[in-house]
Amino acid sequence: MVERTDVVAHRRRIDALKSLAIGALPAADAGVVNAEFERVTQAGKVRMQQRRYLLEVIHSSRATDTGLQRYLLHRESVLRRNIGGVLTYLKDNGIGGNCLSVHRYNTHTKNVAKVRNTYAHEAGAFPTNSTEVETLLDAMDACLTDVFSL
Amino acid sequence: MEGRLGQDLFVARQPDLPTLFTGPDLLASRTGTTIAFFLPKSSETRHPRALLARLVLSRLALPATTSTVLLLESRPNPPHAPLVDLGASFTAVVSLSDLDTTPILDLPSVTRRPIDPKVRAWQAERTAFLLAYSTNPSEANRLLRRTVSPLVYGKRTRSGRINPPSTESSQRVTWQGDAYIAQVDLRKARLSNQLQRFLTPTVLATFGVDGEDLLIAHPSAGALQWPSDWPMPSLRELRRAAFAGWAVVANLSADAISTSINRWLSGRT
Repeated sequence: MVERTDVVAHRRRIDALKSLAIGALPAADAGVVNAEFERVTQAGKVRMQQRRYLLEVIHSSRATDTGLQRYLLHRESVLRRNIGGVLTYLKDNGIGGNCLSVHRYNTHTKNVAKVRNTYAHEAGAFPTNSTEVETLLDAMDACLTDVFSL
Repeated sequence: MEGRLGQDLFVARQPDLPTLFTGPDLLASRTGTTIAFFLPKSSETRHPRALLARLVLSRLALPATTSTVLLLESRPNPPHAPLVDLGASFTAVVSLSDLDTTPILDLPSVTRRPIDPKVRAWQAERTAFLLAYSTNPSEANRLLRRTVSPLVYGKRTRSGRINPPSTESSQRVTWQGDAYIAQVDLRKARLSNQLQRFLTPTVLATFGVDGEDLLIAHPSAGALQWPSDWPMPSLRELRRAAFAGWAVVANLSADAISTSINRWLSGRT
């Protein structure tokens, strides 16, 4: 996905997410999440295209899952194991009473959780092009920043 | 500049955020703290309201506690005077030359006036609605039937009508009720360029800034009528446009668009 000309743009996006994670999470948690974001960048060096796409999706989704999970634990002392559980909790209870609306919950579930699950759990499922990967990564970025802003 | 911020910070230069066409110039973070730095562009020095609009959208896009720092090239002097007036809307104003001697620990780590969660919620809902309207107008219309918009809150805080942005930007923007509708400039292909002239007036028409307080001055939203024979912008661009208060809609009349937007804004179902 990350062609040479896109490296700077990709780095700007990953750095922005890392910065937000550091600001939002305890140091140890931010370290874990940001190590995963760094692996997204490293995955850009894999030569086999399908494998590269899948690695980028997997590492981004692990960073997003863990970031959301640790944020909820940090702010609300509530543990949810996956993105679906976190989003449901945020819809029903929110952070300090600020809830995720049903529409935003539906958007993140549809654009992040369901798409990610297809690639993560179905044998032989690969993103077919870089646009598909970019769209998913954008949706993950938007989900993470939306939740960190609650 | 980053070197002057110290080793204990993670610094993101020109951070690429999913909801912003143009955000802060730099994000600096350490555990529990995010500071957004704004270095005025030359155009913003001439038109400070553009900087204010960038600040408003950036604050809405970043976590509530993020502090904002206005960086000025040198000590305040007459050419910077309008920018200095904006200083009260930032958590702090620092001269670049002073950054050498200002320890990062002395910079404000948390804004004293976080944005009201209801304002943030309204902005998030407006973004969700406008993005749905851009990507799938029929889904947005279904949403209209199901959802009571949180704009009831916005209506309460409304402080009166504002001048239409067309007087500040272009004759291509017209108000229809509380919706602003624009036609594309056929000479510009990119969505960000299309919206560039409209962003400042429409953002500042919607949001009121009083020091670090950010209010909904006039609940409004708009749409850019996109030519049906042009390829639609990417989802990433549509999301950014929606966050700035714009849907991008093809194949619908201005009346149909403004009816939907006004209906959502009024909170009627």
